[in-house]
Amino acid sequence: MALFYYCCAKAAAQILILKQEVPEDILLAAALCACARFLLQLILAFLNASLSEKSEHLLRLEIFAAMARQGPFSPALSPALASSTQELSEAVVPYFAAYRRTMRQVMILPLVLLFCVYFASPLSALVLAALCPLVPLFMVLIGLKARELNDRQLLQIKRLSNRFFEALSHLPLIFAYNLSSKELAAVRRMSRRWRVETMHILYVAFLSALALEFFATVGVAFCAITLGFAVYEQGFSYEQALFVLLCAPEFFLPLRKLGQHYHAKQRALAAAAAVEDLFAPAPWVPTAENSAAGAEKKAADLTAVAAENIEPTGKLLQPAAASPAHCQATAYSVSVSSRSADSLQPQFSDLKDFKLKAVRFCEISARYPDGRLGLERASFELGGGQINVLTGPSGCGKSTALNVLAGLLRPCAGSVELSLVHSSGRECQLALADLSPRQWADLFTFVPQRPYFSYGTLRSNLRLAAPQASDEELYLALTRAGAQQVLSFLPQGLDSFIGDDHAGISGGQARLFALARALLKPAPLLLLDEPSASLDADLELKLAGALKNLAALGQLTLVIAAHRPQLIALAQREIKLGPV
Amino acid sequence: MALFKLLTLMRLEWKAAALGFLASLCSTFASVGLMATAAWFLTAMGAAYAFGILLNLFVPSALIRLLAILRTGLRYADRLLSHQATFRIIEKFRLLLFAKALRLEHYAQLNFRTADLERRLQGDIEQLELAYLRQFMPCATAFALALTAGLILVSFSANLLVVFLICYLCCGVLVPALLSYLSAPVSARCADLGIKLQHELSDNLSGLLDLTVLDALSYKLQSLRQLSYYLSRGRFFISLLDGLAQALLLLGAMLCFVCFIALAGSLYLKGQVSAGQTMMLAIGALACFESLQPVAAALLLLPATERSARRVWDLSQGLERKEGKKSLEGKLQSICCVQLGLTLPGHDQPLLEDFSFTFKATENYALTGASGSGKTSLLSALSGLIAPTAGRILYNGIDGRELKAVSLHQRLTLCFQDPGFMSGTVRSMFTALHPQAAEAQIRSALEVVELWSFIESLDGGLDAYLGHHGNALSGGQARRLSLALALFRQCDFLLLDEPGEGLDPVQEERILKRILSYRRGVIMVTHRKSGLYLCDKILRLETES
Repeated sequence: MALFYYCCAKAAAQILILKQEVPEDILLAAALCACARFLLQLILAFLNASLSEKSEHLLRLEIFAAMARQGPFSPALSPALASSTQELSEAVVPYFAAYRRTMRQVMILPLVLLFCVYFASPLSALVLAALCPLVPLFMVLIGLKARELNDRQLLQIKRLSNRFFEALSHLPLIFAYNLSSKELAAVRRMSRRWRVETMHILYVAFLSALALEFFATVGVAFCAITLGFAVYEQGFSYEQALFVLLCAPEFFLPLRKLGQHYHAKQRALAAAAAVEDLFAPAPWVPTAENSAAGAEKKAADLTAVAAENIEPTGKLLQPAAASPAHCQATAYSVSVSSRSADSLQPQFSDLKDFKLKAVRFCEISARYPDGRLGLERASFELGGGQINVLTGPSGCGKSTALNVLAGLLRPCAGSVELSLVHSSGRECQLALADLSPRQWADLFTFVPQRPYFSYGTLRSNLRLAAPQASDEELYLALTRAGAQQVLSFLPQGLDSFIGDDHAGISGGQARLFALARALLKPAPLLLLDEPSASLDADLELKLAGALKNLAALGQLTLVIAAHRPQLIALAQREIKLGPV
Repeated sequence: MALFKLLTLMRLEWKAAALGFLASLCSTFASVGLMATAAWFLTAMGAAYAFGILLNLFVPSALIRLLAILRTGLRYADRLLSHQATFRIIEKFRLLLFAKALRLEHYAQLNFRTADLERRLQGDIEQLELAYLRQFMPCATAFALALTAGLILVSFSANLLVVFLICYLCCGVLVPALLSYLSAPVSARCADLGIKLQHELSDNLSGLLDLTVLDALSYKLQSLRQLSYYLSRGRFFISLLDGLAQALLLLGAMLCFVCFIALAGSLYLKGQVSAGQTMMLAIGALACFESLQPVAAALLLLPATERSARRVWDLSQGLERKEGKKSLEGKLQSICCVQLGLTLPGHDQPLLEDFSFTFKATENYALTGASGSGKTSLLSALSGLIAPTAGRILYNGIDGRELKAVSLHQRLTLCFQDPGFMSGTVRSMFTALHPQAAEAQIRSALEVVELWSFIESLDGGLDAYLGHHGNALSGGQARRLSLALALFRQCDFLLLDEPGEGLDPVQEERILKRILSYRRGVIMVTHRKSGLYLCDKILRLETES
């Protein structure tokens, strides 16, 4: 760039001062410099784009992995996480691509230019060098003030803005509660307050831009005037003076850009804070968690380093640095996820040859991640091939026992023992904790207390358990679950649409469909958590019948947590759990 | 087309918009002027020294200082005023959209919250709201600048004008338009992918338990990773195009500068312009290109804005609700359905046919029936949300179609199936219904639904902020809160849609007993046993299959 200006200045000087013909060779050189800069910028744009692509993708992968690690009971998981992830992955791109890069430019570019300017005019270089540190100083001062304002008002502003969208999605409520005129007034009032509050922040926030602008402008003006006088009075070389004048705005450019991109940093940091909980160590897998968090941090650091290594004018110090960072980070996450698969036990590689005879809980205590105690020193035995019903008042640990069986909670004391009978008649004992994750997953299928159905067709929801299942298999499972009558109410059958959180079907229907879904996953152990809650008497009877039929085949071991008499009556073995 | 409508929106706040535009234009002029004057000053000084001419030194140097200060001040004013204008436009826009949405029919209103749309709506509206700041202003400023610069140039030489226009138009219009055309399908796909990704992620979060136990998590994560990968590929392409546009802009500016030196230089040699003017023109032209920078970005965003505008307009186009003029006098004694028929839009089969029944304000009713038998739709019809497709509903003998909705809703309230309340402090939720609500009244309503102790335990009590960006409520708590709000309205008729959903059976029983034994005129849709024995009449809707 400096070279380009140098050529231009030389050409201009030749024409204007020496009154020579237009120097084509020098102009050509200038044009060539422009083209070279264009090419360098293209390369830079390409690197920048691929860097942001990788950092964005990588970040999301890490969040997905952390989500899977944390498990369903973690307090870190909230529905808001989805939008925070989106926000973060959008914020991280300008952070790396714009802010970090500009930051690097600020460190290097002015220095290089200053060096060039120094050769042309030491005085101007001195002026620029003196002005330069003032800029960040003022910016920091004003930035601090702005942040203080920000924290105070940001929540208020978010609420005001959000309230409008909420009102839009509650139109029937507003209509039915005669709130139309009030809400209209409220929207008007809130939009106005939102505007006023945001403007308050902006008054201060723009001050920092003003400070930057001021120094940049003053720098250019000062250079122009001193150079002008120097040229006029002391016969300073015009060529060099013009060169300095052309360079001066370029000198402040990265600083001005930094001001523009400063909010990118704020945004990225705020978004990162929202998902911070996710990377907090989970209580029962501290080692894996920490190394993953380390990987995340390391990956971020490495990408940051890669971002910084792209030198502003396009000279690359380490062009390939971005990809090693990427590879290394993925290697980390791979090692984390494959760690537990190594403990595969060859002798029990296929559970299909075995039949479940009994499941014994020995002195089990289990605690939820939020600290709640679910089970304390519970000991009981479940019979294989039978209907086992866990009963007791709410909070006695019925659900916890099921969660322990499903591996959703690790007991903090005690063990669960399985008695298995091989088809050859050989019997063996096995602790649940010794099973590989694959074997454990094949052992059970589960109907949770509040089954979740996502937005989509009934078919796609059922297929969650068996992605390749044909329609016949789906119908079979629905019949086995006693849901065929409920299905006949849905005019579009398997193609019926279900909204988020089973909107569009009733809680009772959802439960039967969830049972059918669970049956699609072949497993010897069927766990049901309060399967008849929110079923009417009619459906409850059907469900009980279906469960009885399932048990009659002798293949399945049912474990039901129940408090309604209809289901308790099914029990071939009833286990009463006392309050914790 | 949709974009054109957007422009008409700005007309509403034309004063603020014009002010913002003016400030932006002035600051751009000052900025270009500063560079041009500085160049002129320096060159004139150089020439003066070389050829020994005496010069007035103080006017130009003062002008430079003035322009420098002006530029700084104007930039600040420009930012403030254009943001001010943006917020004013947002304010108007929201009001208009909301007022329009309020007038829509029930089903059109429901469109605002269908799962897919709701996620998109916020983004769309925000995109539109920023169109003035991000797109309209930079384009208008760049255009005005080009016009002025063109006029100045043509007074010197037509050649200069041609070169300038070619470079300027190429960088400012042609290239961005081409790139925006190229990137439009990609950016559309990216927007869709982004929404899909967020959707799936929130799905996975809510259903994490089910996914884990069904062993479907790894499969789902795989699909998430795939989505994420496609999305970042798309973003890569777009940011590459953006970088290309910026690089081309710089190239154009520099080539233009070089050409100007050559052209203006030859003019100078012919003696048509002075040395100072030569450099002034060249550097002035170079400075003009700075204003093109946001234009390129604006044009790249244009397809996205166009799409958002279309979606928001489609949404707000719909049938408007019709209502009558009569109002109810005194208490609402009875609701009489005469051969009522209800058909859902898009369905051939009526959901409810030939339904005749009289609900009295002195009795409690339970509506039961299999899922899909039309219980919820009947409640919606009774409360005037949807119009019957056949037959009539008479309120105190007046046909519902002739009745003012406001007057009906003073006498009748509906507690929706999905718990609905809007974020705010607890107190504000109640005072919105009755401005003079006393704390004791609020408290008693909350006590009926067993929520008082929870509210009391919150930091701030009744003034605690509930909902988004505030204290979160569980599903059961939200349902009980909406129940309390409905109770608090103390209307003659109280319509409850599945009041016990999500509550534990014992608590449900207790709450329903409290409500049903202390008041009459309750019509309750339920599929459970609890509370049925407290109702005077039980209606069972049958479906013919």
